[in-house]
Amino acid sequence: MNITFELPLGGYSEGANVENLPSNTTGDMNNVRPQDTLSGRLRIGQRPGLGKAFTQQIASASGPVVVLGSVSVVEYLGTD
Amino acid sequence: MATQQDYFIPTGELPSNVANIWTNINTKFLATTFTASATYNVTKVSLLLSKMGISGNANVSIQSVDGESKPSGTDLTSVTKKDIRSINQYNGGITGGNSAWETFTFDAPALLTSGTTYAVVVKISDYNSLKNYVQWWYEQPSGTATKISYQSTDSGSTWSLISETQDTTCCFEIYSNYAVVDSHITGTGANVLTLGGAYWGNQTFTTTANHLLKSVELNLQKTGADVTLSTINVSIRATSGGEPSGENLTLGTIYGSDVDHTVAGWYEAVFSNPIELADSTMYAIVIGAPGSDYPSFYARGTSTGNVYEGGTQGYSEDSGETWEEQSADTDDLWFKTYGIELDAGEGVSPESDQVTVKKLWAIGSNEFWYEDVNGDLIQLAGSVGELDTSEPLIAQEAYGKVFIANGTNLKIADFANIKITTTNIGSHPPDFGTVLTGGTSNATMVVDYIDALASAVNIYGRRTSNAPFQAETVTGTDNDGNSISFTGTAETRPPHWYDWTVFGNSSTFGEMPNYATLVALYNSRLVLAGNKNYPHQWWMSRAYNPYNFLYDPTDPLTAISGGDGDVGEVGDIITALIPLGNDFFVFGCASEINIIDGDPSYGGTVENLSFTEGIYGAHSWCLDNQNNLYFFNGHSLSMSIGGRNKPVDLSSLHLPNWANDWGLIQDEDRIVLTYDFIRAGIVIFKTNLVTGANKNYFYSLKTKGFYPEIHPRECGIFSSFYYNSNDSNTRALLLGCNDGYIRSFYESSLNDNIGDSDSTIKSWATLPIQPLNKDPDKKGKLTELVFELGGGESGGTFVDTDSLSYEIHVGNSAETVLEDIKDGATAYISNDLTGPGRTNKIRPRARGHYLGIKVYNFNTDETWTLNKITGKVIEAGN
Repeated sequence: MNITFELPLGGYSEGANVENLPSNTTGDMNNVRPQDTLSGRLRIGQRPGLGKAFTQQIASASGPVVVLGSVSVVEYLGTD
Repeated sequence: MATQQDYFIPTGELPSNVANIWTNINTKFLATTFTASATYNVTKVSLLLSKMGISGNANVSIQSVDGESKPSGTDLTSVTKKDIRSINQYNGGITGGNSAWETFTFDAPALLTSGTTYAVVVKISDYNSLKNYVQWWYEQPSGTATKISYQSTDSGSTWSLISETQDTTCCFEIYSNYAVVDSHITGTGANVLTLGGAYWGNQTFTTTANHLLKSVELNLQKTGADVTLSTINVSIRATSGGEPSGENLTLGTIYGSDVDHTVAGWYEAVFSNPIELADSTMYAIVIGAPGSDYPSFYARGTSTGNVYEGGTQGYSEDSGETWEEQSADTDDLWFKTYGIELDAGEGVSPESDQVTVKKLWAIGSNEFWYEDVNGDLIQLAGSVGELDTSEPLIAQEAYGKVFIANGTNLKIADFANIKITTTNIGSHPPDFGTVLTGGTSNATMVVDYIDALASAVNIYGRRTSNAPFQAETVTGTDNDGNSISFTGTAETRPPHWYDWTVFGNSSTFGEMPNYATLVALYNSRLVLAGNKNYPHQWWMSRAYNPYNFLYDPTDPLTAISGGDGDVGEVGDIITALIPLGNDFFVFGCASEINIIDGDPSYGGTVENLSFTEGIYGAHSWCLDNQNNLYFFNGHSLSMSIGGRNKPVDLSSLHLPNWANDWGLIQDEDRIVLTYDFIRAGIVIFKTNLVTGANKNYFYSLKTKGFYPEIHPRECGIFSSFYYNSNDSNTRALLLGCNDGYIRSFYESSLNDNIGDSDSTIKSWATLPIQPLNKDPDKKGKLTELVFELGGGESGGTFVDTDSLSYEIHVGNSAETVLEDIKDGATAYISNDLTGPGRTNKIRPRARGHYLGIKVYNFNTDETWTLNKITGKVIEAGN
């Protein structure tokens, strides 16, 4: 019998007994997403990595960045 | 508007020649030489690039050349661009290879002289893997090229041609700012005029073309280290009898604080109102710093020989009323005028549709940081030690300012207003919205906030004139018709840092809560909550005025708080403030969700959205691109359509024990939700406040599935924000991390960065456990197995999977098989697969009732994707 194995495109689930998990789900996965990083197609693959968006470390210290946002200004005042 | 000057571009749409160039080691540089076709200030360069993997910082410079026309090693100007992630990934194509123009804007312009040869030099720094490199695309033009490309493998010490057999030129475009129209910059520099106070200077000049004047550059130097130099006004006037005449035709400024005293330099005054100057006409550049003492700065030029024939210098002792020449006709100031030459009747294209600039800001370790003009994050000096990030803290942007609620620390970071200071405001201080005028400068501003009503006062407001405020008498009229007059200092540019109080810090304008940890913007009002003594209470400022908290029932725009009008306090402890447009406002509470519908000062009502679900914390919610509200209630993920319909549970089917599985402890763990619109999902982060240990889920809006993730502790998420930057390089979903860095998810990142190094992403997935026989009492045998890994075939156009490992487990029940896999039991068979595409047949001969296949990759600098797995199963008895 030829068989095509189900891939866990539906993600992680522990909501039913292992044999009857919702279709396309699995009881074991980590750092995998349903959209691949190679071409953006809908298929399972490793998640994108975390990289620095800015080289500066806030306060040059090891404390967390507790809040982020943006502000819009009018440039002509010559703000820094 | 930048002007393209010299360039070499592909003859077709894409570079047509084979191959490309690798800069995959730190010591390898690339360069292309060119001869300037005109004299201009180079401001930026674009290069035709693609990349493999990830890339570090790119340094691009303009260098002079040596006697062999190779780069000399001397930078005339340069820029180091942070992680150039926006460069397109090489797609393996021979032609074009998915390359695109990447622009590098230099830190400072550099003057290139017509007929002189220069070099564009490229080097990559912070490079960390042989798999990652940048490619600069070239062509090999027929005939003898006038622009030649070189390579160096010893960090620019020696250079060789990229091709010894055929001229090769990498594709580039050089841009300048506005062209220099008229100038005098010859001879040896000297201090020609000594200026300051009522002592002004001028240089007359005769135009050589009909043009639109955009700016003027002058060579200046402050007279001493202890001199305070205020704003320098630079204007253009007509002339009569060889002297300045009439009013200013246009006015620009140079900030005195920018002018150095140790070395002379060129400083540019940009005219926000450019004017058209006629050809062959004499005009005057008038220079003065009326707000400074005399002497305070030198205007420099030549004092012997090298006479400028188109005009001469002069000075005034009465602020430009009358003029004299300094000494001999041979004295001239150095100057450069910039503009756009115009033919008769020629129109000018709009410079830009951009009217605002966005700046990212971030708070961590008790400090406020923000994005400068170079795209780097810098500290707001006044904020150091003014916040306590060990306490709850939320901040909200409004009116060009950031309003911060951090317990007793209610603060403002002001990016919109200028500041002037007085030691005595007089008997009639300005009101919110008062227009003030500078008596000498004629500058005007609209008052936004003052920090006191008497004696010494700091005044913040929006300048509405081109001219800046100097040290001068400032006047106006208050709301009651009283005259305002005080002596103010020269203005200070934003940003500013100050306490958020009511206007003038006076109870006349109401009373703010003494403690708040939540802030939001709703219906033009700043909203405060999160007071531990009044946890059900909320406060809203007057509409359009964040400094007025006085309740006035006769004012439809009045400030208001719970119980002032028809809307009372919320019936539960407020944990989150969620504005959803100007129609309604959501109070997330410990066990409920309530809505204020409409304006609370004018017919607004309170409704309950849920009596059974609350919102875990101030960060535990987000909105998608259709304004649907997602929130974590402490045990599951829920969604409210449009933010005002009954919540729908999204996770209990798959994650019935979510809180227990995560070991959630509310006073130890932060839950952050964020909407990733690029990947169409909600990311739910759980981070331990002390250690940064984390567990996370990606919830896909496409598949409706949950995907668990773990990040390194350094990358534990404490905050998130989608930054819609003006710069596409920094436009991304940003994540505030445990170690003080701001990160984002990047498809090109194969690992997680943890500061100075990378951490391997360990990824795995177990396929749904498969019965091997339709009869549950009988076994089956897997006799063949074939994997198909993503990427097509190796070397093709599609990006390839690096490698993938697999394990096969069998057992008597599905649960046993899954348990074995999760417990790390020895697999029946395991192996590694490399490269993309379809693998050879594997013959596992795995026999049992149930089969489990686990795929995984624990390797550094690798990623993978899986298309399918097929196999063949036969009956195998009992």
